[in-house]
Amino acid sequence: MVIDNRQFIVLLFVSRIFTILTFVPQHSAVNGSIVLISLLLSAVIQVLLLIPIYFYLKRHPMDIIDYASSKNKIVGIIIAIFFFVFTIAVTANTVSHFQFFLTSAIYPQSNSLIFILIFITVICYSAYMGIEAFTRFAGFIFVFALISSIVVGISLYENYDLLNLINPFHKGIAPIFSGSISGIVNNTELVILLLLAPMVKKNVIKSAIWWLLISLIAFECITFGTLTVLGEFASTQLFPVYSLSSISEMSIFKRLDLLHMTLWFFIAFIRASLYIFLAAHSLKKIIPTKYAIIICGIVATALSILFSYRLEFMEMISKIISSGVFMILGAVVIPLIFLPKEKKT
Amino acid sequence: MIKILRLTICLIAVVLCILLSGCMEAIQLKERAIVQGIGIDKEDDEYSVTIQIFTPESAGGKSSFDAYKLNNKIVNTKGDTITGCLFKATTELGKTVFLGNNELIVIGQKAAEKGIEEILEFFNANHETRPKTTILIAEGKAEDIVSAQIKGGIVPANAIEMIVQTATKNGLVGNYYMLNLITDIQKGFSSPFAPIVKKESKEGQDMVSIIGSMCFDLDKSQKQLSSIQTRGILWIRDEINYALLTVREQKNITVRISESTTDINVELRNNIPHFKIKIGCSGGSNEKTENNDNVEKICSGAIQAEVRGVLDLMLKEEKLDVFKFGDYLNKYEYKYWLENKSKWKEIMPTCTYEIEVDVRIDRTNLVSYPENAVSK
Repeated sequence: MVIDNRQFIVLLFVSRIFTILTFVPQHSAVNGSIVLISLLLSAVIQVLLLIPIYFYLKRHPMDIIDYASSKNKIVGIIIAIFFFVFTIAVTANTVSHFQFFLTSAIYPQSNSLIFILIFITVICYSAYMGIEAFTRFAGFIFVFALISSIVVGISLYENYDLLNLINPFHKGIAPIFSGSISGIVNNTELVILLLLAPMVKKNVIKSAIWWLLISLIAFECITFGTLTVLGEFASTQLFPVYSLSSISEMSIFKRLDLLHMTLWFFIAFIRASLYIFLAAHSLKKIIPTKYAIIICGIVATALSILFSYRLEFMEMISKIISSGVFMILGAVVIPLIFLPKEKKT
Repeated sequence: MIKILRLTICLIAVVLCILLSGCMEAIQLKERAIVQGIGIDKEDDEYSVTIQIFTPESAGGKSSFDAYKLNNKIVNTKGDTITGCLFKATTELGKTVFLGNNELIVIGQKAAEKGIEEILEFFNANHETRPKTTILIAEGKAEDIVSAQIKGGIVPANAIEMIVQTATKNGLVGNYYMLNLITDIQKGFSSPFAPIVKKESKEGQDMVSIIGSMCFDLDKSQKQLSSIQTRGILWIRDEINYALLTVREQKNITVRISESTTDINVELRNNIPHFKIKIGCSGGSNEKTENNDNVEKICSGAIQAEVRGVLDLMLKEEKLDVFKFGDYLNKYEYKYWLENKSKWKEIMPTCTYEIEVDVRIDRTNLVSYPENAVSK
């Protein structure tokens, strides 16, 4: 059950891009133009946040839950519960966001329960097939995302209005910092790096830096597009990146939003597969069972239905996930706790 | 036995693939009312919605429709909301109204006077409507425009769209889409504008023509401009791709402007915004010109007059910012803008500007004029 480093970068990127697709620079706490700079700063800070993970992996190149269990069984279970709760919450959040997009933008008259049930069944099967299977598929999605983004980007060339960009330093550097913090805490993939590390062939940190760099470029391009093409219109949209693709047209192809819909579907699939796979991986460490994926599927279904029941619930769980608590614990505190080397007796 | 079991499983999988292909009920094309144009009128808080639906008329033979026929059906419904009106149309037609192909929204004069924000909100919220749908303002009722039976397209709405596109290419109107109007309304300091269309009848045939633009104060229509005045705005906004200028230099000469760029710089003079507008364009003429330098000067003067006229009218008299000047202040004089954004309407008439136009006749026609040729 090992993936190579390129696959690892692609998998994390595809999972990360899901957040980008629901991102509204004009809705963020700071002005859209400030986001362009704060993204840079947030990428630098995220690279720094990799340091504790780097040192942990250098000293203990093994599964964090297994290592914690080897020290103390109860601590091991607590760490496993932490990762299980986080990954299952992200799975359910991804599924509910996905159904929200479909029932808002594409099929408003359809039943959200059917989406949830079918989608979770599919991601459970994908997770059952293993990380190599859906990571290989993520490679295709990466290429598809790249091509469709280039097509949409070129087709919008007449719509870029640089007047919408203002000096990001107008309000000083405080908004840049607050913008970059929100960029960091939204990066849920930083939390799962420790879980994924033993499943990757070589140096995870070097690949993680590449992943952060590629994600930064994608984020900058999408922010630039929504700011300059949509301007204030983006603030009236729930899915501005979708709106961006719906105004792009090329030659006889009048609706390039079709590309976005397809892309969204596959990206949601990869992300949800990854997180439910990791949830099952963590669950197995708590309760050794053959049916971990089925249990995770049932829990994810229940949570997705709950989050989809009311928009406030979905917003609430999104806020909890991106509160920064999970990120600090998973990427900083846990690796630091297990950093000290055993004293040789 | 295992073979039969495998075969049964495969068969079930294939049947499930066919039956479960999609998460919603399939709608056949014949069950859809494909809207090509929609007109919104509002009187006494009651909406009147007119939709033009694509109804193929066959010419016989194998073709499903004849492009020379009008291929449309007009449905008009009234109600308290646009949704209610469209629902009535659905029940009346026995088909689901589909706005995904609609590229034209016509708003009636009275509805525009009352405010278009509510109308645009409906279309912006509707998942089928594209942000790049063309918005037109009708002189009179929108119903008259949408129900006009004009030839020239597959459906009349198609013909109207082509008229707007041609006018846009020729610099007579700005092609203002739904997303542009919403953006300007959303900003709160910028005035949107949209083409005005009028229905006429010539020799018993319906015609729709563009007569200028309607400028809005936020979402309420305020000032109607002619096509030439509209072009003045487009010069400033750097939205001219092509324009024809007829000037007099010994005889009448029409100059084709085929390239144009506008640069705007803003600075504060005595704490009052001063805009430097620099327009540079180039083109050619089919008529023989005696002195190109002179023609260039005359053309520059003509453009300058168009621009100055519309600037004086809009900033000093109407106090409408259709030029994106607020955006320039926001970008280049941020502190000033932050303090004075709320007073922008009072500041507008005090703004000063200088206009510099440089026209170059750098394209020749196909005729060679030998210097010693005897001209008639």
